[in-house]
Amino acid sequence: MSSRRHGLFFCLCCWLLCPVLSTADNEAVFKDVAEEVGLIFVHFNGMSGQHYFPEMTGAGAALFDFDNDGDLDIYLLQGSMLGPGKTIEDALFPPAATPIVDRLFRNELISNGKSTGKLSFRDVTKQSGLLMTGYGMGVTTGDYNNDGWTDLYVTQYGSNHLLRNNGNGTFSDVTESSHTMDEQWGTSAAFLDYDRDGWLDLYVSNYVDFSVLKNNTCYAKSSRQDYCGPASFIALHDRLFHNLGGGEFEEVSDQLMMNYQAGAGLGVITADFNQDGWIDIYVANDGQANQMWINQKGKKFVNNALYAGTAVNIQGRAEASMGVDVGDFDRDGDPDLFITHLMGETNTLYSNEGRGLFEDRTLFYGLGSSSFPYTTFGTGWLDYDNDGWLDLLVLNGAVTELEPLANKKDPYPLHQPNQLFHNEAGKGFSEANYATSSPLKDSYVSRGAAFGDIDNDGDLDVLILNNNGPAQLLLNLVSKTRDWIGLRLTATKSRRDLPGTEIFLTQAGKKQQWFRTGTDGSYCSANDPRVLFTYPDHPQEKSLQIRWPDGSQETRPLPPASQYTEIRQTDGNY
Amino acid sequence: MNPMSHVTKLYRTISILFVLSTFVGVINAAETSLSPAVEGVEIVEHANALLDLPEQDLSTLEPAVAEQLEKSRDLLDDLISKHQNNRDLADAYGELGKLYHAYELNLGAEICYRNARSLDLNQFQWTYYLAHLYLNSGRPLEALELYQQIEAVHPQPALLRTRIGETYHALNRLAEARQSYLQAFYLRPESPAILARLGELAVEEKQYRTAISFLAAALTSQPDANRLHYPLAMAYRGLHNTEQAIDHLRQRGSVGIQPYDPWIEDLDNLLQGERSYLLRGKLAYSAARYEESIEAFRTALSFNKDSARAHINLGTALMQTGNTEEAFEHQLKALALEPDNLTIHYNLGFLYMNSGKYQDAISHLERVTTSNTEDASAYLLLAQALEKNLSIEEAMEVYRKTVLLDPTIENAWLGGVRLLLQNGEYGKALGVLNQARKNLPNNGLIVHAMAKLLAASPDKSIRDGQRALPLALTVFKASPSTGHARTVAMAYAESGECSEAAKWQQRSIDALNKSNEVMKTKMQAELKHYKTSNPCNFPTDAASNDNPGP
Repeated sequence: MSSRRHGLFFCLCCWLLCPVLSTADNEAVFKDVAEEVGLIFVHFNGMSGQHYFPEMTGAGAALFDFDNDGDLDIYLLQGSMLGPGKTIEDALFPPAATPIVDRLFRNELISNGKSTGKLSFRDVTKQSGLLMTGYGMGVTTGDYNNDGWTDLYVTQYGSNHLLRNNGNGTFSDVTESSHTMDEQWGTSAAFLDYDRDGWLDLYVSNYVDFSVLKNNTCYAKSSRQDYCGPASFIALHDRLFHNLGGGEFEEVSDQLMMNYQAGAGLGVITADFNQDGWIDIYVANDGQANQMWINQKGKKFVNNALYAGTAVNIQGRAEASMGVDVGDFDRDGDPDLFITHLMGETNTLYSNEGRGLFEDRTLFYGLGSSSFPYTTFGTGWLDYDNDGWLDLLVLNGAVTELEPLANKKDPYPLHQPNQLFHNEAGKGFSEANYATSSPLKDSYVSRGAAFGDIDNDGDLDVLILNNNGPAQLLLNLVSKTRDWIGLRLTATKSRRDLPGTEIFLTQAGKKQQWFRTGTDGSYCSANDPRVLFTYPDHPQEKSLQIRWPDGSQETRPLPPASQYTEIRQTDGNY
Repeated sequence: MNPMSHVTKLYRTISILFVLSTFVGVINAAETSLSPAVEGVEIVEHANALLDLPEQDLSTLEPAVAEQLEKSRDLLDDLISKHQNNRDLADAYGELGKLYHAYELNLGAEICYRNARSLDLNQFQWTYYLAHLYLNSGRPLEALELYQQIEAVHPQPALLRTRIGETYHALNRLAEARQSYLQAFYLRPESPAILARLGELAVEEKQYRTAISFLAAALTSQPDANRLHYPLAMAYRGLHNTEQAIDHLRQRGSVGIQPYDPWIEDLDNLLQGERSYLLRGKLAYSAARYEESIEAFRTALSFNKDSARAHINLGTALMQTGNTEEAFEHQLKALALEPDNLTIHYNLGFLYMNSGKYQDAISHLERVTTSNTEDASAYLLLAQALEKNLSIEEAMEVYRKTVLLDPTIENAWLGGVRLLLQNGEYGKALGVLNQARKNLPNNGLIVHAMAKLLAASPDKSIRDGQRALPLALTVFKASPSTGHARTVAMAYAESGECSEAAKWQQRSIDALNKSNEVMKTKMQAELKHYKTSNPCNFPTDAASNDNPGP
């Protein structure tokens, strides 16, 4: 513990540390800087013409500070060859680099406790001991053993892995000793402390019972062979692991999740949806009703999605849910949900109407027809223009072949451009035009997206994992017109990040906006654990009401503007 | 065997067998993007301005489909070369557009429809098809413009009003959507689709009472459209009527309402080929329209008589209609085509099992479990076949393997328990039930079996009234029935509360079907025992004659 290097940036103005990246096009929102900062990674999906289902579903990425130096590092999941006897010679797209393993990149923005003033990344996979060779799908981050170092849980089509951060730049695979093994097709996962015992528990969503040995052959309506959908397979059970402390977990899914019925789970997010002080779990299922597991004071979970209005769309139709994020887009002080879907469906906005009851307000807020032609996976709420209202980024890429591309003999005819939607002060959303979001018009098969302030400049940047394509690092280039607040919420003793903490911006006791800590959401990815929002008007009248994961509450004045501030729980037990 | 388990198994079988993804159609239907060269081309009536049709890569399509598309394209090219008049050429483009549209080759469909419109604007059907294509491709503004062009000439049809309403709805122009739907409603007030649209729109507008009126009327008109129960539930929820909301949520399903649209339905009639009919068969099967699915699978076979999938699925559908003989015939034909296909072996195992030919069933199912050692469903069926074949020890072992593979299969746990009870191994049976309950804590059958064994086991040493009673009461509360009330009585008796036992036994007798005289006599004797004996524990001799377990 004593060796931890708490980030210097938490007490210094980040403008001083901000890397200098030119913004030649002042109108652009994002710039893809992956290549110029040394983030060289190309996802390998191992496709060999067999149309194996997993090859077009992965993968995700994580933004996390593995070396506690105060900047976000990057973990990217990699695929592998699928099918018995297949070698990389059989791959339609050869791997860009070998060995074909997940990659860990260290952010050199801060080095030896000092700012280098330059955003750059170094591949430290080999040194870290991380040699994940399976078929990577998703990742979540959290300090499961309260040692102050962020650990990884990696899901795969195959065996999942809990990777303990040893605090010295290396990781150890502790899956077996921790009893967190799951050999199903894992997708998104989330760490949460559902029973308030101070130890992070783990929820793992699983997809369908696909096997390369029993690969179904599926066809498009045109009769051309195509990828299968989840309806061709049996949905798998998700798993909830209770952290017993001491590095061990116990699976409690059957005991705690009442009347569980398997769905084809792809996305997971945790938040206190009904505002009763206990963290809940939302699972986005592909083609089946979504689940909203309401926490019954740590004793059990009851799926209330149907009555809550978040299981299906307003017409009662279960949609092909992939990614999910939660945010208070209308600034009414409670969490709202956004779920991404297949083309031919809309993405869906579930607005929280209070008491944990939601309404599908997709069309009302103008998010309907614009998403109809796209298949979306990763997504996130982000206030890209720092106007105080949460905007939406959606990452697109089809799952079955797009006819015009296939007809042109495109070798991987699934790619689509991404989209950015601007929040019009809570009254609706409008799609940002491509001139202001140039890297988004690049057509890739985007899947996972992790959101975080990679350059510590007070806005959210985006790491995108493109299936069978290069990773993109979209740096937010919008010039700051307003101050901002950056928070890191940590435990009293262990000083680990505290996912599940709720922050309410209040004025005269009235909740004006809701935020949460947590790295889950999007698709198969892990986000920056910090909270970032625009500095409010009339700051002297405002305060922060903090509800910690153990249920205790405290009120704090607004922290200084335009810097990150660490807030430690005052009287926590852990 | 529980008849419901047949359904489950058949569904499992068919869900594995059917190889056509349910969503691929939707996906490709939504594909719209045009190349820059196509976008922005002005539609003019002169043939010289016609858009070039893209060359379709037919090599990857099913031969019957490729041939159909090729012939239609050749026909068009022939007409073009003969410089036919615009009307005939427009029809040829339009018909080819429909064919592309049916196969979700939407780029070709769009160009065909646009050319047809260029050649003959008076034929509004091509405009209608193009508008439908746009609306279902996320291009509602373009769809609206086209629908309005038709409306200017043909203002009356309710269907057109409904489509315009749907388009406004997609554009979130709710007031205009409502107006269009209402115009359609005045023209066809009995249409459940229009009522449903009005109801759904009212939910979005938070006009909950209006929504309830329209949705309830739609459901009265078309009760099987059970998806409407969901918006109806949301409307009741909006009015804080929780009871009605929950009641409608319980009734909700997946069947929605589409307006009757002969033009769009006509597109499906253009589809040819084995794969198309396999998909039709699957959809009909999923909706329990077995005769229709059989017809579709037979047509699929007419395109490819050696289609193992068509034989397998036809056999499965025939099973549902009770035509076992022909079901066997098609599964065996499939087996001849694909002797190593484990699904066929599973299906034959199932058919032989239900025909009482247990040895044959065992033979096919062992083929499955030998090749796929993780197929828990096959293990379960094998265990059941072995049990029927009186190979008790082997059956027990296979039940054990089944729960190791999938501890959530209740029938595997209960099968093992049943064999142990038959063998008089009550203590072991209780041990298995304990394990089962750990894996399936909320399973009523397992909890009931446990309660009954603890309350009335022939082996008195394992009885435990204090444990049995809460279990029995829990089961009764969740599912009140004569049998469950009788188990509560047994548990009270074992707990020494004879008057309570008698009360519950009387309750059980009162609820008993009057025609069940044998059971009634037996239960009255038990009641007398509870009333007259002290202690009044369920007698061991009666317990031996009563099935203490599942």
